[in-house]
Amino acid sequence: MSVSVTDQICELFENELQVSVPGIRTDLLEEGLLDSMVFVDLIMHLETRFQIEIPIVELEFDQFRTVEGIAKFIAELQTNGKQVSAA
Amino acid sequence: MQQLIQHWVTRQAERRPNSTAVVWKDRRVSYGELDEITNRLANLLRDCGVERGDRIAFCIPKSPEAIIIMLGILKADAVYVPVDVECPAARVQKILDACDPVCLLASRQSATLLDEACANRPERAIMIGCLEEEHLLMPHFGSDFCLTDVRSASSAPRAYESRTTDAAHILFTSGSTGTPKGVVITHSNVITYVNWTVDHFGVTERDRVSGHAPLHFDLSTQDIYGAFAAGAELHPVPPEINLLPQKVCAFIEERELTQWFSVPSVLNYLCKFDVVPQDGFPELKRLMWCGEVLPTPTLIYLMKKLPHVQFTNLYGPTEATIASSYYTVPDVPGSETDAVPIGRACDGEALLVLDEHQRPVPVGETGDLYISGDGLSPGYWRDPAKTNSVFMRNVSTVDESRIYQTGDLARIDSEGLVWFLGRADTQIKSRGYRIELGEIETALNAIGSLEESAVVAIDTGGFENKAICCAWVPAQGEGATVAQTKARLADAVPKYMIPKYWLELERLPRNPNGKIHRPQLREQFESTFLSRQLTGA
Repeated sequence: MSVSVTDQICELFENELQVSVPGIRTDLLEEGLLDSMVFVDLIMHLETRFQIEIPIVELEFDQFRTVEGIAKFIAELQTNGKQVSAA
Repeated sequence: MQQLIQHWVTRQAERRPNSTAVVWKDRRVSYGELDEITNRLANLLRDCGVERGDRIAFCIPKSPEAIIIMLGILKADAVYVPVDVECPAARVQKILDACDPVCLLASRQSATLLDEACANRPERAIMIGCLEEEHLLMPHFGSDFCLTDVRSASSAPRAYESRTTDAAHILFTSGSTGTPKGVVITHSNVITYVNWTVDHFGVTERDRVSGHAPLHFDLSTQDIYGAFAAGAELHPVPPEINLLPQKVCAFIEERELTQWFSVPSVLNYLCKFDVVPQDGFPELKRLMWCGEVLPTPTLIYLMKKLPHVQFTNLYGPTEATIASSYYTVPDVPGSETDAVPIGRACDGEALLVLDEHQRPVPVGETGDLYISGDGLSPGYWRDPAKTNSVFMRNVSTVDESRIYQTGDLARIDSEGLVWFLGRADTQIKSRGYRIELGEIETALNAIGSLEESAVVAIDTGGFENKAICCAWVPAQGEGATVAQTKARLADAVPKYMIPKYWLELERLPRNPNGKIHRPQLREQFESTFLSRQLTGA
């Protein structure tokens, strides 16, 4: 059984970004856990880990406000990748 | 005659009480309200026993409350010490130990961090306050006063005891030995510089200026007090805006900002994603940057997109108050490899390029860059040895004027323009942050899980400018991983100091003198990480 996407994202925050996320519904922006530096690294790690391309210029805050939200966003990109990048 | 920083706000409140001072999200704070609430906070602090020259630290996210706190502290004749809410607890503790505050102003967002930082200093009684409706209640501290208490304090203006030469704030920056250094900045330091910017750039009450820099960065002092001196609107930029380049543009557009001032990394980000509209931001008059070198390709991009805007490079270390020189770029640079000078000294300051005997070097030759003038800090907080090592008397002048050795290398050209040529030591700038590589090495040694390590910086050419690299030799037997070491390092230093690239070696290269061969290490990192990035992307 593979590790869930939310677990993988939490692990990535912990080990790659040195950011402890209290829970998958924690508001990362409200709690100040995401700054621009962490964010750029996060995007890079997500792209490598999940083999996706994240269109930064089309992103909205709500898409990565929580770990749960990021997981949902990744799932959408994975199933729907072509439409999203072409939009 | 302007005596103290807070007089700017009071003067605006007397003339134009209903004009907006600060715009934050959907909220507007007028000069009248700002003056009144800061009087109340000052009176409350005094009622609690605060005296002239006492330090008051604050650790709260950027907000109108943070600005109220800064002014309220000044109005209480005290000295404010901004503490980054993203600082690790161990470093917060070092800053608190160093500045020895009588009071700490906190918020819900910083409560956990401060609780951890205060847990190890139970012997020091410290008053805690917050500007929120609800009290903070944590295991190791709880607030002694909250917003209700501030509102019920007297709004009467105080007769200030502070003098213009008194400290207004202390800004802590990276120190090579692992302990942050506190740069003391006086009221007159700020007033001299801010008066110059308002006059030079023609800032007026019709301006809407950005407040981009974090409050523990001295750039924020120009935004905040520059706006208040001119009676302009200050628009603090919420930090999360920085995550998305298109949001930065939307902010400038929607707020109809007339002035933007930030570190280059933000501008590089806008350029990298090409989000600046052609002839966009019609209200924008001037764009300034400071803190590190702006890559010329970014400057060319911005100048072509925004031909109606004036672009100014400001240069200066915290020790000389915000900026000491300026250069307004006259035309779009002809080539991406053209350098941009740091220009000429601001009024009241002088830039000197001297040799090792403090004699001026001939035109065009490289020397050490020194600054003299009214912007010079009195020195580092309670550290005369460190102060005397960089603040000195200029023996080559008749009056032996006071000079500050920046640690930067520079040359002056035949037109009198000064050009920055790099650092004489191992300090680097990354995303505007000033980082002593020695501080990272000291923290790594303290962790003790590595046999040995060396930290160097390489140019990435990307929007980060410099990347921090750590070469390490694993300890025998124990075998800490890079992830474990990074996690432990994150407890000691801010995130922006954590090395990006890690290289495990059997032993560190040494030069014939037995010292770590840093140029060789840099080459190793460049060939291992940068070439791979170029071909692999």
